[in-house]
Parts: sequence; structure tokens; C-alpha cells
Amino acid sequence: MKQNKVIIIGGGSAGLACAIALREKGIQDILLLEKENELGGILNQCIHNGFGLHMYKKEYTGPMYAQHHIDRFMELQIPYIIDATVLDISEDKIVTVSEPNGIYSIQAEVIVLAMGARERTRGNIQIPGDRCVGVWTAGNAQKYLNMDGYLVGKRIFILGSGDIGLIMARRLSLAKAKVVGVAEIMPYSNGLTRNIVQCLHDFDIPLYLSHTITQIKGDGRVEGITLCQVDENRQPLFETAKNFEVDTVLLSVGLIPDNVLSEKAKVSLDLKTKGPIVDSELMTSTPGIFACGNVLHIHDLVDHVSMEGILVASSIIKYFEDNDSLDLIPVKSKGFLNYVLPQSINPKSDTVLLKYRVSKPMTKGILRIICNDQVLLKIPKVDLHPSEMQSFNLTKVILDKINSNVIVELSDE
Amino acid sequence: MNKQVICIVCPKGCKVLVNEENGVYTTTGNACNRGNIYGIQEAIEPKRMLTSTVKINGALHQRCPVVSSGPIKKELIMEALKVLETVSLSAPVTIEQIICHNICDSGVDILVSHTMGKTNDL
Repeated sequence: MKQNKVIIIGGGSAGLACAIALREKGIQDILLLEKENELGGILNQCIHNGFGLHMYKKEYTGPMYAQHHIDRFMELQIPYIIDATVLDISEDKIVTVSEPNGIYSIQAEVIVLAMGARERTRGNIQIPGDRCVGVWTAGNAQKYLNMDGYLVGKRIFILGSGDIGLIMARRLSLAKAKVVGVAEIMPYSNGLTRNIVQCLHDFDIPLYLSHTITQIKGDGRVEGITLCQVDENRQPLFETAKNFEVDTVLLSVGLIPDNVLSEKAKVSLDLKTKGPIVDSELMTSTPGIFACGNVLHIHDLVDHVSMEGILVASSIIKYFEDNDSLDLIPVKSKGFLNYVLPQSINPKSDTVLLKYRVSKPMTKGILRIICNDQVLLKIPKVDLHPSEMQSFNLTKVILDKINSNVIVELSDE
Repeated sequence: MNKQVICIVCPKGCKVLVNEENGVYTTTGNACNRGNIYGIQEAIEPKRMLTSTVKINGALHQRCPVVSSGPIKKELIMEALKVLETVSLSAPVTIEQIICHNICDSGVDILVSHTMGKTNDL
């Protein structure tokens, strides 16, 4: 059987950053597998700017950010295969791949999961109505428009106010489609303020907060939708129904980490993040399998994805030096937190970057790191929003005080 | 003159009220000085980065992503897009290659934002 020291699955921002960092740290035997016909991943279709503010202090477009990494990857002559679909990963790290030269298996010492995420579809959120043509996920519509040059519709309603939905509202308006409105089931937008301003206000597109689509109508093609306000339990108030004539509905209703392959390798998943459960080295429950980027948890900024890829590279170096499994210290979240990552601390880690999302918008809150009923750290926080991932670095000084279960708590007092 | 602007410099999103009197601009509602600078610029002459795509022949995809070299006056954006509709590139193109100088006399160039090889070279 063919063998590779490290196999990276996915050539998007996480996979590229990990491959580059591994090679820069002296690992020669790397193979990156990409299922699309080019490297770069989802960045290639995100033609708007605003990428790289944290990593490069620049506002690159998605393709520029990707190009930056692709150029470095090529310069380092890292082996890769495009049009390569991974069919299976086993617990003992055998990767089965289908690529233009055939189907075969490769034994890896380490596997990096960097497959990214998928969009939630109409099926996932079960919008009632006719099963007609013209209901798209925002990302698919984006790919059609930005890479293939097809406009998916002329009068469009967008469900979901996440950043992809907002970016598409602007993009479609610039492409001379009429965006009739954007609806958000929550009482607040899940997008960045700058996107609300530059993508909706600039084009006079109304944002309907606490609203959802209760019906899609159309004989063959979408002809219209019914929009209803929702109550505090997100149940539609049918007396508020309004009809809109549109030919297209775009869904921007969230991303789900793509872990079909991870499950084949018996990697345990977290119900909240929908990604692998990892320790502070970003190693999954299957030793030697690591995860980074959107496959691990959904990110709002690509910079953080790249940084995760780089962190995995460092962890792999440590793993090759010494792969004895140490007792992990569980990390739990409490209070107004949706999740905390990593789910455990590996005593090997010198510092631990805790990442978390709040469960509701808060103007101020207090983050506490608790161990053995003792508050190790108390950090005041301001302007917290569920759509913005937060992070906090646990330094060596703090880690030395941690010897049993850690609780990360966010409270409003 | 009074103008309400939502500041986009940081995630806080302050509602900045820009007031003009005899050519002197003042702001209220902003939590920091960056909001003052942004608010006044937005009131006097709003500018945006322009990103779009243009037609490309001989590449892996039909469209090539492009970006403005700097922010362009908001009122010129639709006009600039019309100009870009007439542009047709042939692969290969290289990142940051200028495809349109000083578009609509804005002082801003339009650049290729992704290197695209010729398909038969790939």
C-alpha cells in the first residue's frame, strides 16, 4: 500500500495553511487531497474584500487571500492531487481516494481533517410549499454568479441574515437583480454591522427581523413567498402574513461542518459545534487524526481558519516527537455560552486558545475560568454577539493551576 | 445639515450623527475618534471598495474576479460596473494585473484578484 506521513483532506484555507506550516517546520512527506478542480476552497467564490484583516492587516478579496496561500504552497512544492474525492478514512488511518488515476488506499501516520462545511438547505429547515425551481442556497448562487457567470434570478428574497446572505444581497443588486427583502427569524441580525450597512442600506433592501418564510409558491418556478412575523418562541404569527412576488429564494441559514468522513474514522462529534471533539492540540478522539477550519466549528473569519491550520501543524510536530496519550482535562461551558472549544486540555499544550460563542447578544458580560470551585480568571467582556466568535488565551501561568475539570462560564454579572 | 450614519469601523456599530455648520463638521454618538473620521467621510463623500467579475476566455472558469485598487465614490459604482461589462480577458492573467486604468475618472484602477492559467496548461 502507498504510504504518506501526513495526509491533508481539503485544499481550502485550513488545509493550505496546515500544509504550508508543516513543510516550513521540515515535514517532507505530505499529501494534500482536494475534491474540486483547483486549490483555494470556498474563498475562490467569495470575490468581495475584507479577508485577512487579522493575519495580514490587509483587506484582501477571497481569491486574493487564497492566491497568497496557493503561491506559497506551490513555492514549497508540496504534493497534492485535485479532482480527488476521499471515499473513506478508517480508524487505523487508511485513506481511500478516487482521483483521475484510479481508486486506491494510502496508509497515513497522521490525517488532517480540513473538509470545511456544507450549507443548510431547504430540507434542513423544512419550509412548506411547492417544490419548485428557484430555491437556492446562497453559496451555490454565489458560485454560479461569480465563477460561471449565471444569475440565478431577477426578483429575489433572501432568508437568513448571516454574512453570506448579506454579501449576496449586494452582489445580486450589483448584478442588476432586485433583492426584495432579507428575513431573519431572530430578533437580531447574524451578520456584521458593516455588511448590514454596505450590503442592505446602500441598496435600500429592507431587513425583516423576527420574520420567516412560511410558504413558497410556484408552479414549476418560484412565483412568490409568504412572510410572517414570529413570536418569541419563533412560531409564525399567521395574521401577520405578507405576500411577495419573487422568482427566486436564497437561503443563508447556516453552515454545518462536513463530517461524513470523520464519522467513518470513528471520530466523536460534538452536538453543539457539529464538529469533532478535540483537545487543545486539535487532535480528535482518534489518535493521529487532527481537525481544523470549518470542519471543526464554523468560523466567521478566514484568518482564524488559517491560524487553526497552523496550530494543527505545530501539534503534529509534537505528536511525531512523542505520541504517548496523556490524561486530558475536560473543559465545560456554563451560562450564556453556546460552546467552548477545545473540549479538553492536553497537558502537552503550553498555551491554550479557548474559542467560544455567546448564546445571545450582550452589551457586557463576565467570563470566568473556574477549576475546583476556584475562579482562576475573571475577564470583563463588552459587546458580545452570537455571530462573532470570541477567543481567550490561557497562558502557562494559568494552565499550571489547572489540574481537574475546567468550567468556562459567561454571566451577565 | 444633519446626517445619521452607522459606524462600521468596529463591531460596536455606533449611531453617529454628523452635523455640518458653515463647513465645519462635528459628530455625536460615536464612542471613539475613528467614528468621527468615518462619519464625516461618509457624510461628505461615501466611498466603497468595488469587487465584481469580468468575462475571461480560456480559463478554468467563465468569470475572473476583479477588485478596485482603492475605495471608489459610491455614486460611480454603477457606471464602473457598466464599463466592466465591456471587458473581456484571455487567460492567463496574474493577480494584481491592471485591467482598467482610472475607471470613470475615479483615480482608481481595476485589478485582477486571482491568477488564472490557460486551461490547456493546467
